[in-house]
Amino acid sequence: MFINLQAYLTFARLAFQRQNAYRVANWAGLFTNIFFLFFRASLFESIYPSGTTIGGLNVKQALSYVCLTQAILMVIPQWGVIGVDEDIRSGQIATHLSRPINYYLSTLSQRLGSSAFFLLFRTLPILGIGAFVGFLFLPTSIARAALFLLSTFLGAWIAISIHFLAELSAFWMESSRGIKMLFNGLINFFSGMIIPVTFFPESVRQISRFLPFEYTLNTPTLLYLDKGGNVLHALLAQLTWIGILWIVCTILLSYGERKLVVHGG
Amino acid sequence: MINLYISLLMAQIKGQMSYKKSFVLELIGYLVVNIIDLFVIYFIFLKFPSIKGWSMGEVYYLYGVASVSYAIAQLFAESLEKVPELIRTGEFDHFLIRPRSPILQIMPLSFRLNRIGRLIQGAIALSLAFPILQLELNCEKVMLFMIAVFSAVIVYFGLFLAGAAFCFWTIQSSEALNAFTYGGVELSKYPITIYRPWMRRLFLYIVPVGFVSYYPAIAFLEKSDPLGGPLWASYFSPVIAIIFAMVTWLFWKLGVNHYQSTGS
Repeated sequence: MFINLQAYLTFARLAFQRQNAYRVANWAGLFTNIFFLFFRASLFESIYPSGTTIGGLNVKQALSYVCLTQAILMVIPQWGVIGVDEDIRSGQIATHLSRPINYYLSTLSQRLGSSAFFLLFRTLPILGIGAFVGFLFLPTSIARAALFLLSTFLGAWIAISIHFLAELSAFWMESSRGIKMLFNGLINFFSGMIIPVTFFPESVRQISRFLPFEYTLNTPTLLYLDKGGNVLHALLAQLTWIGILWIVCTILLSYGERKLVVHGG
Repeated sequence: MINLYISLLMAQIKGQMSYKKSFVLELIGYLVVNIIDLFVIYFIFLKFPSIKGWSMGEVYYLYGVASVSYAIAQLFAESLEKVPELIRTGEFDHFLIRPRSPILQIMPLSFRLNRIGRLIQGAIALSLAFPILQLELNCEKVMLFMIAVFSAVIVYFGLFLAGAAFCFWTIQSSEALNAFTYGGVELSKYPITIYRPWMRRLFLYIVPVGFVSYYPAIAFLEKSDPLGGPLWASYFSPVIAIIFAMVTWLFWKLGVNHYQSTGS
């Protein structure tokens, strides 16, 4: 597998360049992201009674939380298309699977390539604006910032695997749209995108701990804010989920492969 | 004209119902995604006493009206989001040579019945709101509710139309407009008083999503208005909505005139 590292890096680089070709679309997306930053921040600004700490966050931390999650939501895809279901529907997947390259890893590296693009052209500008208008406080140390980056990378890997899994459902049904919608909703909610997971009632939080979703977006964000508990535990949890999802994706992919009938011509 | 629209619509619905399993799954998926939002509101009120003086029941009401209206507009006008694709492929030409309005022809094109999921969610939000609020429903209230939904549907419809019209110049769908469409729905879920003055002004007077959701709601809920808006504002909402839709329609007209086929 690691012999092919070069090939996976090429996949990532090409995906990066493809994103780069749609510059106008990126500006438009950035504009929308920033708009929503203000929407989301407004809610938190207005609900916090002065001087309170709720769910472990005071108002300043909550605003930073909003800014960080808003900045990385394109890096760690909350919704979106990986292209697996399209490959299955069109039969292209047969070609992909016959290549001496791991399909899961090549799809993953492509989306990670896009994520790298978004990190530069969405995350950085949004964090910049957030810091400028006073939503975001700067990281307390360079180590914190590095930790945030590392955890964001792991979170992106988890999120992409979840979408990969959802799209694999196209092997078994005519349309994977319903399953995808369901997963988008679950990620959106349990990742802490709408409200921080620390705002959840304890019972819901207990469930969320055992699901992969909060390790996508919530973990890097809370690590940045130094609210994520033990750093090592947090990273280990992320790595564990990567392992589990990788295995599940591989197993389901091979099941699907056996079921696959491609109409030749 | 309406007959044509209805028969195109029926063909779409039949097509979608032929994949029953997919349809049901999509409906469930879409419903769950939306129901989650209702839990979020509940969770917020578990931790916080109020949202700028608005109680949980009041926020559910506001949210319900926004959802129901958006669902109705989305059901009928979502296809307009296909316009950039139609322009790119040159298919838009077909709509122009037929002796019927292109809008009416495009509207049923990708009518997605599963959007009813959102309508159901909106209805749930409202049915949560009414018992909490214990309001007495009278003629005036019912009228205010109808005014609110009608005005919001018209404004959202205008937004879809404006989004499509923009594409005559940009050719690609512009994600920037999501700020106003999705942003508009997002904004009207909560009282407009929580937003910064520049956002308030934008959504009260330029893209009047805020106007048509806020004023009818405070009249319905008998709340005093910290913004000091005039009392007639709620009854004036439909007029504002229609004016906005007219402007977007003129914009669309301008776009169609500007349109030059992709050719080939």
